[in-house]
Order: sequence, then C-alpha cells, then structure tokens
Amino acid sequence: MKTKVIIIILILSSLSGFTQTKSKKTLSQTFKSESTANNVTYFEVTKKMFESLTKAYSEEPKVKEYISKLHNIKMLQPAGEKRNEKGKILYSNFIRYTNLDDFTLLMTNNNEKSKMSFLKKEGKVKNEFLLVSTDMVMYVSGTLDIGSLTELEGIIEMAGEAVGL
Amino acid sequence: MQKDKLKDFLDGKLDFEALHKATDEDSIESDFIESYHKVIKENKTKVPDFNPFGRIELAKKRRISLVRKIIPFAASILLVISLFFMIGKRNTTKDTIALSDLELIELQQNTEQALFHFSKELNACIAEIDKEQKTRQPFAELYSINHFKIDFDNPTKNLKIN
Repeated sequence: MKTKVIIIILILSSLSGFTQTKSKKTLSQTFKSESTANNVTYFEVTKKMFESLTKAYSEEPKVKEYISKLHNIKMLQPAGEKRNEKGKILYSNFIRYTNLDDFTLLMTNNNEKSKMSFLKKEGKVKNEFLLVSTDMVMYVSGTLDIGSLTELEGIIEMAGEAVGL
Repeated sequence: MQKDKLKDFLDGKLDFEALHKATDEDSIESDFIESYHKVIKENKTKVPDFNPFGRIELAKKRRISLVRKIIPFAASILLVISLFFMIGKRNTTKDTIALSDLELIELQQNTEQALFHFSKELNACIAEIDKEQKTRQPFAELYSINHFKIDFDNPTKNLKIN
C-alpha cells in the first residue's frame, strides 16, 4: 500500500512539473502553428534542399560557400490588411509563449513603430539565429557565425549586381 | 520424583489430598504444576496437518513466475516496434528531392531574399549601436536610448561593418 502511494505521488509530481514546462511551446511548434495561420506567408528551406541549392550556385562561388554552411531557414511574414496587428501577435507568440531558454538575447529594439529581438544559440554541431520582429520572424541555422551573417548582405548584393538584377 | 507424579496423574492414581499434606508442599506443588503444564502443552501443541503459510508461498511463486513471463514478452514487443521505426526511418531517408529548373531558380531567389533581409536587419541593428556609442550624448539626453537593451558581451560589439 505504501509503495503504491509513493508511486502515485511520484507520478503526480512529475506530471505537475511536466505541465509547467509544457505551457510554453518549442520553437518548432510555434513555427508550425503560425505557418498555418491566416494572413501569414511562410517560407522554409531544409538541409536537404540546401544540398541541392549548392549545386545550382556553381557560377557564384562566394554565395555557394555561405549557402553550403546553412542547415535551415524559416521565415514568417504577416500579410494582408491587418499585418501590423498580426505582426504584434506574432512577436508576442514567439517572445512570450515560446521556450527560448536555450537562446541568448543579443539585442532588443523597441520603438513606436516596431519591436525587434535578435537571439542566438551556439551549439557543437550548428549555430542558430532568431530574428523576431513585428515585421517578420526569421530563423537561420547552420555552421555560420554572426560575422558571416553580417557579410551576407554585401555578398548577395554583389552577386545580384553581377547577374544584372 | 516428577516422573512418578506424572505417571500417577496419567493413570488417575494421584492422591491430591496427600499432596496437600506433604511437608514440603511448595516444592511438590511446583513440581506437579510444572509437569501438569507440560502435559497440557504436549497435548495442545499438536503439529498441524496443513501449512498456514502455504497459500502465501504459492501466491509469491505465481507472482514471480508471472513477472518472469511478462518481461521477455514486453522486451520482444519493444524490439518489434523499434525495428518498425528503424525500417520506416530508413525508407524515408532514401527519398530524393527532384525539382525543375524553374522551381530551383525560384527557391534560390527566395532564399537569397530571406538571407539578404536577415543580414540587412542585423547590420542595421549593429549600425544603430555604433551610432549611439559615437554620438557621446550628455547624460541628460541619453534617455532616448533607454529602449535599447544591449548585451555588451555579444560578439558583434567590436565588429566593423563597411
């Protein structure tokens, strides 16, 4: 009888702990739920697709070098007439209701027009970067570091000029 | 002495009155009582024909044998399920992605746009930080940057962007 009572107490305490952590979604879950919402455009590229893409960049070696280091890109953008409101909801869904404990907040910018947060998570296999703003939410993962990400703007711009776009 | 008394008692020949009259009554009485108790004990404490703990031992044996049967059964089920998962996962990883040229170009452009935007936003933030640091506003005017929450240990602090 005593052992049964102890087992029941242990199960109940583990369940209570589980429900506390379960109230916040994981990043993947939030992306999944928001991607199917109305008035949102969603774009994702997986690692397998990046492997195919690197072959397509044979004429642009610089871009190819960066693309080959990427594992995953996810982008959510509010669309439609009420995109500002949708953007605010997206921002709070990600910042408040997603478990980002493993991420380090690099910077936050709050002003009248928009809110933005940059987060990073460094790992052994890959680094993850998350940009959450009221205009869009972007997730990038790969073996790139933050310095390489800042260089991407110039590299893609140059590649675009070279192609004549 | 005790044996004689016991024998007489069992044969029904014990003279209780004589016992009372005996000079050393205490010792005789105690002897008799002792032997009487002994007889009672021997008569009462018969070895039972059944084992009172037999049922408990039987239940214990059944429980152990049931556990010994359940564990290999559960292990075999787990093994089968894990094999199913492994085979299923192996089959899905074999799938290859086939895209047309047009789809590939579109994907390429979208990826570049996304990365360009990400990089641009990151650079804009870093530029704002540099600007705030360079302006060197007096303390009274620094209230305008209170909304900036900057992690001064971040790796982009000393990064120079052209």
